[in-house]
Amino acid sequence: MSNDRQRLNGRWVGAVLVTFVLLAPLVINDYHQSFLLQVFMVIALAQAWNLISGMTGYVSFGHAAFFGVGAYAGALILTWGFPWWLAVMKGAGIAALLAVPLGFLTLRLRGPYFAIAMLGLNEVGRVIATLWVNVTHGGSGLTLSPELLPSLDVIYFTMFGLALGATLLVAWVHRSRFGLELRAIREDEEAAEMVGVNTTLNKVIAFVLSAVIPGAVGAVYVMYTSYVNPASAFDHARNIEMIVVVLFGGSGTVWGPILGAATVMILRELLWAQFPAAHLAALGVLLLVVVLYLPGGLISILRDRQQKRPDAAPGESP
Amino acid sequence: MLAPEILLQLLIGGLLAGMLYALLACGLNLVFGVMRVINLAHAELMLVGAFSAYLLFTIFGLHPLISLLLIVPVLFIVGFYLQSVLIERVVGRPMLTSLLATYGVSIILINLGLLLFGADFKSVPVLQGSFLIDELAVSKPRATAGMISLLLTVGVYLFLERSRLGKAIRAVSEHAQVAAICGIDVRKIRMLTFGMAAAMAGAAGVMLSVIYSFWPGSGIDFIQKCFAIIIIGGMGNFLGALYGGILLGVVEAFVGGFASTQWAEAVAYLLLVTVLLIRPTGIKGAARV
Amino acid sequence: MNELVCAPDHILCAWGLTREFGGVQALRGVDLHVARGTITGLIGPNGSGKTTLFQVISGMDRGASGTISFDKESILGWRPSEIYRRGLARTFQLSRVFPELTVLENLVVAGHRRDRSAAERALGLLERVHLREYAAVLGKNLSYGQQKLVEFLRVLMSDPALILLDEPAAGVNPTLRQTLWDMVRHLNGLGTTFLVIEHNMEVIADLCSDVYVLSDGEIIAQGDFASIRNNERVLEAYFGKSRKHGAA
Repeated sequence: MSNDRQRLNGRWVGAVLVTFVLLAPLVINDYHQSFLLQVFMVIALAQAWNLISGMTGYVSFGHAAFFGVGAYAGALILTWGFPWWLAVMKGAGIAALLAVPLGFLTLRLRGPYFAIAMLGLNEVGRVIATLWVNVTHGGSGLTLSPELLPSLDVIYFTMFGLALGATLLVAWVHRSRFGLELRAIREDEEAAEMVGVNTTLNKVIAFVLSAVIPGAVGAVYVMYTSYVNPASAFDHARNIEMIVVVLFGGSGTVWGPILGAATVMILRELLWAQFPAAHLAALGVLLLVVVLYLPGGLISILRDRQQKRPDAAPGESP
Repeated sequence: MLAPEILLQLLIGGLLAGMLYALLACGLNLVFGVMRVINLAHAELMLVGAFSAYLLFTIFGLHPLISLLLIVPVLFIVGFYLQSVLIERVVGRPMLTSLLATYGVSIILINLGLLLFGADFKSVPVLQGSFLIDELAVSKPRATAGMISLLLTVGVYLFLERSRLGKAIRAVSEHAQVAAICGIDVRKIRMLTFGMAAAMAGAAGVMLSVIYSFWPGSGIDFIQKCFAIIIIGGMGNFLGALYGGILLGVVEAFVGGFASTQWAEAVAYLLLVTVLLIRPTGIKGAARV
Repeated sequence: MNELVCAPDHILCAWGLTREFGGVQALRGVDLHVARGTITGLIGPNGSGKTTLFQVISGMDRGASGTISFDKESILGWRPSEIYRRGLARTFQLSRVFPELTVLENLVVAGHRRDRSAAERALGLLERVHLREYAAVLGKNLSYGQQKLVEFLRVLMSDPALILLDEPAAGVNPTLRQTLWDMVRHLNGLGTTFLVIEHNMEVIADLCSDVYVLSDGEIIAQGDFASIRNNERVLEAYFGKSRKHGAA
């Protein structure tokens, strides 16, 4: 009962937000549009991370690498004269291509060791981008001339599309059999295996899905900034944001990453848009606070207020 | 191919670098062994030592080897309190929790460093030149740093093996519950251990400042090296980390000499992933102590 | 060539199962044959290797050598999920209910992927043990006994031909315990084979038509309960343990 009402409320809120987003370019200026664009980007990345780390329980510390791969793939496609939407698809495609073998290799490791193995992935991406000079132009990166790029509006809507798509994907997974199996894996992987869940296949699918989105987002981002270099493509800050935003908002939920992204981005804009180091330090503090005191994230606060656990077993203390 | 003198040169350079890595990795390993916590901020603690040496040098003109005597105890205290205030809360919880928490600490430290010092590379270039042994030139800063690192590492090892406190630490590392029953104050031991690890990291940082140039983001490479070392040497195995560190240093040196320094940077990560994957118990029970 | 063939009326056959953990022999060449449609007991002192045997048969422990044939297929080396989907399920000694999933979700996830009526079947099972109103309760909020029951129901979701029960009644209160054994008997009547680890000899005597005794990694006796009870080697294995349980 209350679950259905929650869902209805969610749909209304969602509809309002979507309408706002669609109409916004008519009224707001470029700067604000760029800000929203970045919010969408963070939401999309967050939902992707949510998929593998929040829902499956395999916490990835290097997921931004897929963003970087997508960024470079997209940039290259554009420099070769192909249309922008192909760049986005290529970004997603290359990320997926890498994620499959990577997933099979690393997902065999237990939680902390998976995290450690993924930790270096972003750095590896950066180093490869720096060394593979023939393709990536090394440290100087690639600059894209304006005639190759679509308009800000197109980029805005594409990014929004990715954020929406990522969110809908997470929502679908949440309610699906696939999502149930992922959650079982997160809870107790051995027991899940014991009741017939093909843990390897499920994990790899979740991993690949969670890589495809950053790949596409990276390609779109490149169109926005019109250049790419190793440092910007494989920026550690992105890693940190993905992780903290989701944990802060509520990992494993649909709205959590959105809430977390919106909050963090607004705070950043208000407080320290000029001081990226301060922003990241604040994220570090936030991470600590969440891990120590609020493991369920913001969503858990909202949930506790709403439900007084009507379905707690009789006689059980909530 | 290459002349034997060059090979020898590479070997010695690698050994010396490896000793520094070993000092750092042993500290991390110690913390893991005693409380099953993976401290992602360990390399940043090292940088605290490095930047402290830099500050003391540029402001007071203090020679880093003298700063060492200051920095080590100070970092010990810092580690001690960091443990009691923060790490204690994540001991006993799933390892992922401690990974996330220490990741948070590392982010805070890196960015505080950026705010205070900026992103420029710093160093403490007090030691210059080389020792000449036969026809081999061994860089003075590297030799000094390497030797001191080795001394400290061996010192800690002897402390763990011979002293009562060291034995208590080892007891907790093997079986915390039993150690508690035997009357050991496990919490105090944990605080002591973390303090020691922080002190070791700080010392490694001072040594680092003398050899390399560094910036607040340097930690990322070093933590990778530490993980590679620990997993190769066996998590929780002190001597394993010592040998692993030296091994990594040597491999890096040779790869750097034969291929390029960029490839040398990748060595740690490649080794790490390879070992993690080859372990026979790859699926469940991977990389256990 | 020694042809190891599993008789058609045996659903599970194992030959020479050996498992060593760093110098300790947990299983030494265990031979086991479970007849179809029976409730077979597996008893033995603590540490004799019973749970290890279950780990090996169910695929969770893949470090053993030997041969296992289930329903005419050799399953040694198969993944647990494959073995489960083939029709061999097991429960755990300590409840491994998924804590953050509801009771209903706990059951549904164990059913077949494409089974649209999985939820209905799950509710039906819950009804049988009077737990229907707990369907939306999170696993962690159940009492221990309820968790064990739910875990038992969970393995029923895929209609397995053979169920390995590892002390299913341990920690469960007497009423629920009776419900559990009644269900076992009922299912057995419908054709499900059971291999049960139990310490309660009354249950073994009452339920099992065939009993294997495992001690120190070896099968030391096999037969019906009456013959086991007076077996020299069995008594020796239990020597020093309380023999109160031995009384029928």
